[in-house]
Amino acid sequence: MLRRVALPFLGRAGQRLSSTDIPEKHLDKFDVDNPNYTKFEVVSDPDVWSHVERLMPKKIVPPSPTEGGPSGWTPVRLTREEARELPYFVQRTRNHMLPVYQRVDIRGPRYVTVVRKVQGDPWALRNALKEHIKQIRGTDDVTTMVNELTQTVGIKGQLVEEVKDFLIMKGF
Amino acid sequence: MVNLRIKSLEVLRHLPRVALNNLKDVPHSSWRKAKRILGSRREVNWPQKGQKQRQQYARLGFAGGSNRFYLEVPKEPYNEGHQLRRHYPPLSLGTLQLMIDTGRIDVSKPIDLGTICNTCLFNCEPKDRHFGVHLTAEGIDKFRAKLNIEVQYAKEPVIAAIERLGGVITTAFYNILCVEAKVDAEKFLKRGLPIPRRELPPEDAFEYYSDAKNRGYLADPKIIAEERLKLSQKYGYELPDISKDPDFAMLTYRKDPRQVFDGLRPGWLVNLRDKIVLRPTDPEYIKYYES
Repeated sequence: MLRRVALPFLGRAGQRLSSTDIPEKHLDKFDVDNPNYTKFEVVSDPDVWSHVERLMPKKIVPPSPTEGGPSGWTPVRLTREEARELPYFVQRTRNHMLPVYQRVDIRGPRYVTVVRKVQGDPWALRNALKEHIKQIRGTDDVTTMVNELTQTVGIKGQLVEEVKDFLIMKGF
Repeated sequence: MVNLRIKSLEVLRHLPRVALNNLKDVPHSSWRKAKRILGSRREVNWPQKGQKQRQQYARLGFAGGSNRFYLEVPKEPYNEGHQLRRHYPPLSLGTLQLMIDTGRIDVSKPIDLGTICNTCLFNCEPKDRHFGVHLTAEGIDKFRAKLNIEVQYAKEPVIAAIERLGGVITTAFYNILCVEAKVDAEKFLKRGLPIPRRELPPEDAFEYYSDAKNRGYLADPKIIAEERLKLSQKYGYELPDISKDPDFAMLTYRKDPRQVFDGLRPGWLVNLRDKIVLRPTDPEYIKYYES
């Protein structure tokens, strides 16, 4: 028969090493030689503990790598001095991604591609983006929106990849 | 002649234990009583009034409802019983490459469900019967990483894409309790429970995970080596020789079929506060948790 009842106390047994103030009525549960409870041995091998540490989730986003990769992701190429001269700047998200999203209207397929986290003059970014999209599409029919309060710039259509390529080309 | 009592006890020893997952009602415990006839028996068998006496039965083709059975819209219940099926949330090869590029996943060590969930960018909910990760082929052209990955479901092009670059892929099954432990290992270890022993796949999944074509974890490694070569010939690429690779030990690492965490055996107990691992020494425990 398995003595399953004893198992929860196994976890507390490890605390015996650090804490000395165990209540008297629980002392027998921390006794290694007590035949009523499971016998165990303590593994304090650093190699084993390194495996436990690998199981813990990452609490902090790792810092941005200095080089891009085959997935198309690139770090910010603009230096501080170069960015100061520009009329606008697009900040990366906390996950080092470009803040370009596609918003979908629930009624009917109406898509708006939105750039968030625009610093400086959003109208300058809108003008540059509009020219770029006009060249790609080959038409003058490009509808845009600018929200100065939330510092967002939008373009009508499903253009996430195009807008991301434009921003990477500009060095953001 | 063997004593029947001893023999039946020995059989009982190998039969599965009664547990919450196999409890059933006692046979015939839910039988209903026969319906009591109300009123006179003659009226019940041959009604004296109404539709039955006048034999006004429904026209041909009407089976109970107002629609004829042959005109009903056919049903194709694809999602019937979806809450009972095993779900595998998808992760594309492009997203995996992005995780590698942004430093979320370390390729120098074996990757499994726990590693992917530890990035906090992949959502796997065991309470919604998510049994792990399905590696999909989206972004297959951008994939360039050499890795040793263990997923729960993968198709042929994905397997070929990984093996072409000198990597290794395995499909492995985790029962839902082990998925819970893997998805949030910190939460599980804080509960103070021993590391569980992984169960074997259920009957309908056993074939998939013991097939070398799917790189199942229960398949024979020799047949898997043959299948790797066959797949390379089918897709027309040269299979890199892993035995000459500097990361040979990492690439050939595989977990035990009963093991949940790398480097930790089932039955062990982790004390996060004092940073020690407790290993049971009772022979009964060792026998219960052995693979």
